Amino acid sequence: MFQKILIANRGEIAARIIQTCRTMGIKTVAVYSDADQDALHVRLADEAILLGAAPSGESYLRGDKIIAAAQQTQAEAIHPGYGFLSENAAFAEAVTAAGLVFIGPSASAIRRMGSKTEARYLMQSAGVPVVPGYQGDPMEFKSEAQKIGFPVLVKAAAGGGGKGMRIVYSLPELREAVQSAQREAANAFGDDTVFLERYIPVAHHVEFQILADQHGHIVHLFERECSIQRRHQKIIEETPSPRMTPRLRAEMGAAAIMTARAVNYQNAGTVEFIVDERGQFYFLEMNTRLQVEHPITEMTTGLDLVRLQLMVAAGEPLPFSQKDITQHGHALECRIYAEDPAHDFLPSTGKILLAHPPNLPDVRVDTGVETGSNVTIHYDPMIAKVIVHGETRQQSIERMQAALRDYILLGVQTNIPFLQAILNTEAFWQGDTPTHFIEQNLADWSPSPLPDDLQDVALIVAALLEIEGEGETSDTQPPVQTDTSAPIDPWSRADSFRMGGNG
Amino acid sequence: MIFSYQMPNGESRSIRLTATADGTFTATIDERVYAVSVRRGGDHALLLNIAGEEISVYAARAGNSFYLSLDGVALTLEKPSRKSNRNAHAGALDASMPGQVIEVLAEAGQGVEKGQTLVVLEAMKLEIRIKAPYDGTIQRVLCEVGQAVERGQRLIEMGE
Repeated sequence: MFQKILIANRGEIAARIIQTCRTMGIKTVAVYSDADQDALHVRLADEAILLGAAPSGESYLRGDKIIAAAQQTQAEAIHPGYGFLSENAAFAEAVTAAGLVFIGPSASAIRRMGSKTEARYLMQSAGVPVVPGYQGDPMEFKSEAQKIGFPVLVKAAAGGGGKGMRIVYSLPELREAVQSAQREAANAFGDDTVFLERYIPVAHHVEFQILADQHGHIVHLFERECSIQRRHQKIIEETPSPRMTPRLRAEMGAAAIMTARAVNYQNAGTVEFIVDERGQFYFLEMNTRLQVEHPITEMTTGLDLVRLQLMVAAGEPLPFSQKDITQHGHALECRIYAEDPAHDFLPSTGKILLAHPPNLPDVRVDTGVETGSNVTIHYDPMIAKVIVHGETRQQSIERMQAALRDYILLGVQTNIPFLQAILNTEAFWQGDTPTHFIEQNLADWSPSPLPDDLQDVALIVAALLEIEGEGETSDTQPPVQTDTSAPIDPWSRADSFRMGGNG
Repeated sequence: MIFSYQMPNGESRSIRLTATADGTFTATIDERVYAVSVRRGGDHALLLNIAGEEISVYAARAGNSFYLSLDGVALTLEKPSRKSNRNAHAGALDASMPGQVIEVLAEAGQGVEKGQTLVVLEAMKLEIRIKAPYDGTIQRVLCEVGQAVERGQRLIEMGE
């Protein structure tokens, strides 16, 4: 097993990987940018190396600097997390060339699955069903789109996370959608190649976790339902999928393993499928890394996926076979984003004045922020994940509602009110969660107005803070003083409260 | 003392809060008067007694923003700042989110059409386009590529 590894990431995933390393006695090296000097993941690691300025391009995407940091600290392996360089084949190659272990699959598997178009070809040859589409010359898009039939999805070949993706409802919209998708893809992935797929409007996004060792053993760790998405970004995931049947699970699980075998896959990965109204499934793409939502699989299987990744990367065989893997109960994850739900979910930045996560049984919080952390414009807006386990789906929903109510985050706006609204919908309780769930149930949602009695409480609390002079900075206005009768100052009494905010 | 705040719905509300001799407060909002006492817990936690009812809250201030969590409900009040009194008119285009200016597609004196993209902002991997609200002429460009801007910061001024 490794003595020391470097985590080439930040935020909640870096913190989470470090935690498993700590349980295994593995030393950790964190990397960080100027904006993350005081970040949680830096504090948790045994050592930390500064990469550069805040923008990702000068820090977390600098593979050369990351490898140099690993060599400097004598780390033996690099865990890339998700996003950043985790699916960058050139980085995986450079890590190996530097004599280090890349905790993930081979560069070749990354490359082949990283191109959505090549992955589709591969799956077609392997006999795994794929969504009908066209991935050739853009000059043919017009005629091919008509063959596929509208609505058509334009997707980035090098893409993910909804970037470089456009739904086209009719032919006249096609050209601009393609150009816009190409531009977004070029900016996000450095590759403007796009392709077309039939858009399946009523569908469930179901993915399978797979794990493969270096000795040819591949298993699946069941599915995750990821259909609650806003602008193609996942916000709630769960396992088991409410729409799964044992037969479908067996078929899809087998297809996922076949997919992994087709590229000699090693380590952890996820095969994404789309399941239509009739229960027909199609391969969508394979993510050759650990995913954001992996904790729900951990909660139901009782396994630590990062631990398994490290074991596999160190050459150990999987400690179980497919029949040994079972799942128990139900798990849900909600992603907490620093976004303003009252202003079209635009990013919200600022200093976290208080982060007070829920502390309840069977509730896990994976977070990269704590009190005092800075949320900046430079990185992904996801600041935490709340994961709950319950004996039944109903129980896990109730537990999640309690957890979200208890999660206090002061200093930035979050999507928690929106998550709560989703969990309160009848359709969600019924397990009726196709990918257009939000458009169907919450298209006109806006945050509820504050009840009148809480309005008064809010005013009282704010005024109390102000009268005490808490948190004043050079930007603050002095209070408007119209009443100059000077009462006895209660703050000067010797009393049991603690004065002064953290500011 | 009287304090005024902008509520989440944009409305402006005022409260008179005065300290009393025994260390408690009297709060007056519109015609309602409350007796208030407060105990501080750790970490921005307050236990309030308002007219005999206890409520536990978390509250913290940063600049002109007051971040509150009242019984699990998160909300932010703002002190009306000097900036909000500035001339707001249809041609004053402000940043709708904090971010970095990645493209400036307009210059002073340029004629533009309604819907034309003038500035592109980027934050947290999200790109937004600030567009001309009507056909007109650019009067002033107040930002440049690479600049970090705050939410509400003026980027472009167009003629009325």
